[in-house]
Amino acid sequence: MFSQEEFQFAAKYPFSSVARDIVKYYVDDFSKVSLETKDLAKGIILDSYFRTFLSPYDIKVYSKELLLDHILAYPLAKIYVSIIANEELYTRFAKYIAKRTYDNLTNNNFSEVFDLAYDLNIEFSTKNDFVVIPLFSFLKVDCFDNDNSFKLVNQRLDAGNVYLSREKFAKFLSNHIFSELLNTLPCSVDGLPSSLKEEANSIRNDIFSRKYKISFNKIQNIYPNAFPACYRELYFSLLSGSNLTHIARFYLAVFLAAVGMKKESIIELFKNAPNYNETKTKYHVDRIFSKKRFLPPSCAKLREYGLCKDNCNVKNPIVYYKKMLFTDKKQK
Amino acid sequence: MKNEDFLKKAFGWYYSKNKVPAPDSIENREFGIGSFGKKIDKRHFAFQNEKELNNFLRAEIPLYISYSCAYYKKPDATPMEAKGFLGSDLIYEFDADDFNEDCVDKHDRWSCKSCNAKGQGAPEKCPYCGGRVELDQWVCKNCLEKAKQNTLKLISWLKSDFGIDEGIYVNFSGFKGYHVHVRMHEIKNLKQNARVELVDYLTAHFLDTKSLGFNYQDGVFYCPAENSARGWQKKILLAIKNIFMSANYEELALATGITLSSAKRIIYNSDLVINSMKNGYLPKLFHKNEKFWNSLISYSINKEALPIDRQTSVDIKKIVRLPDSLHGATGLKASIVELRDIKNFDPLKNSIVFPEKAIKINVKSVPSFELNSKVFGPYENETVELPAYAAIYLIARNYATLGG
Repeated sequence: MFSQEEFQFAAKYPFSSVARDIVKYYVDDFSKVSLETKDLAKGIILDSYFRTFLSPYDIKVYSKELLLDHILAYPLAKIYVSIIANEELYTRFAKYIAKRTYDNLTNNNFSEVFDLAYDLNIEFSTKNDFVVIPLFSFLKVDCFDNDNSFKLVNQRLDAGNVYLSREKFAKFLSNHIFSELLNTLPCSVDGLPSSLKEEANSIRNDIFSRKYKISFNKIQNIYPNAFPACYRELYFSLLSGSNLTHIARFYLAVFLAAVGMKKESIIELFKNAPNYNETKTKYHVDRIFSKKRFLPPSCAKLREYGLCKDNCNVKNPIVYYKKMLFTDKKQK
Repeated sequence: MKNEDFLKKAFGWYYSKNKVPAPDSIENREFGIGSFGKKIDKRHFAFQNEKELNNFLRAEIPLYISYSCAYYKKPDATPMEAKGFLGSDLIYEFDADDFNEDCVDKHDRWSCKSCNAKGQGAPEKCPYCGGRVELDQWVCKNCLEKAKQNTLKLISWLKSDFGIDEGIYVNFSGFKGYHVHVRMHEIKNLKQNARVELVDYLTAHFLDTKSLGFNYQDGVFYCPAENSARGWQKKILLAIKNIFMSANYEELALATGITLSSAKRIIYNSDLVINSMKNGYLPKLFHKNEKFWNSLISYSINKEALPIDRQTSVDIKKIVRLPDSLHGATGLKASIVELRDIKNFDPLKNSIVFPEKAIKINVKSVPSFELNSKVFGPYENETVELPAYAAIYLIARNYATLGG
């Protein structure tokens, strides 16, 4: 019914019409969606409220089943947010989705901007290297991150048309999502099953009782959800069978060793790689665990290799991880 | 007869002989009226049609009448939330006060509340003791002309930049400037944030030259190539080009803080500058590069930006003078001016509605002022006979009382 590409697109842009069609096709009753979907929806809300951006958001290689969880998580999160009914949460949720959209468009070198614009029925044309949109369409959207360079005064404006670079058009689309989402929140929650209301109330308690602790699940002695965006993406990609470059694999192994993962567990993890080679893996992991231990590379180094995914305001990803765990401990 | 009663009688005479046109969708507009010395005394009036409005003017004879730029379901309901907001026009206001023209020193006066010092001009604070000053402000042909020039510039930007070429209406405010009303479907539904964006564009607020492509990097000052420049890029380049094309070295020196002799040498290189701008960079001239061009860019932005009253443009629930009604502080008509007639419109002549018939008044201290192409004053606590329009002007401004 739906292609892999459509699934991937919908997972990245869960507000798109493709995503809506998929949701319509697969779900009648949101109270019956999988536990994974419910967890993801909760994660989105907590991430957006606490501005932690913990969930992996550049989804590349998941199976259709996993992608479906991501696609369904968005409308479910929207339902939960509407039940929670808190203005601040509406704004933070909309900002989170807008930022995620912008990051996804950026990560793909803006190659998806036109697909998304067509999907969202945005009026635009192209002229030379610019995307041209009517002034009054530009004015309808609010900027989700108060970026001055996106103000009208800093645009190329001519005869009622705004000329945007692809990058700025990506920002415009993200702002469009932000404004649309804010306009449609809260959505109608009349007649929803009581189980959804209970789940939403439990999330509300997590947020507002201030007893919420970042729920880092301990897996193999480590807390992957507390990883910085760069290693979180590498870790989850490898888990889902993605083929990482040599340097990405090596850095990931060094990082995992540094945060306390056992040698055997690391080798086990690398078995998910599509071209897993036991001898080679063992050789590299042994070297990492040798007397002369490798230190995790700095953020600057990761940036050099294009592996950096977020501006975490730290110099080394390990600092971010420790900071997150420290916050977690303090809250506990 | 008290001043206010006299003015009411005069205004009543005018309204009995003239019909004030109803604004568009009058049934959805809120109206407010004012009395002597108070522009808005009562609000929340509503009229179903032009006849009702004019009957009200004839019966109540308000000295000021304003209407909402907003449209409401129930314009007379209170509080504001009960009115049911339906949308709003866009209003831009230019006040002669905001231009700081040289003529201010001739017609404006100030007095200090702390040290009692007095003087000509409109300083922000007392030049002697730094205390708060009370301003006695007047307008002349020159400052109203400046307001008109800015109004024309705004109309041209509305067309060239915003693509708005219909639904633009202009009226003289009746005192210090002009109001531009923009009425169209897309405008009506604009949120306040969008209105802020528009006024920020017109006033160059938050303008970031780097975002617009003016960027000094590795010894080269890049700028947008002239033929692809749009919006503020184009305005800045054009302002710079005009200085070089007109060989105005004095303005160049003033803008960049260089000496007149340096400015002269640089102006000799106008052709190089103009050609470089076509190719997307600003050339290094006699070791003058980053600082020089940044100063000239800042100067061009300040010169081009429109001095619009910000509050009026972003307040979607503001009430403004009803076009073609009388202004209670001057007795002049807030005349509607057709776009094609603006250039020849003389507010101090074409907005006079009262006759030449002489009226005796006692005038306080007043500088000379011009009305109907005639200069009156200066007066210093004296009794004079003036044409009705000039007498009403001074009485409405509270600088005179009925004499005799």
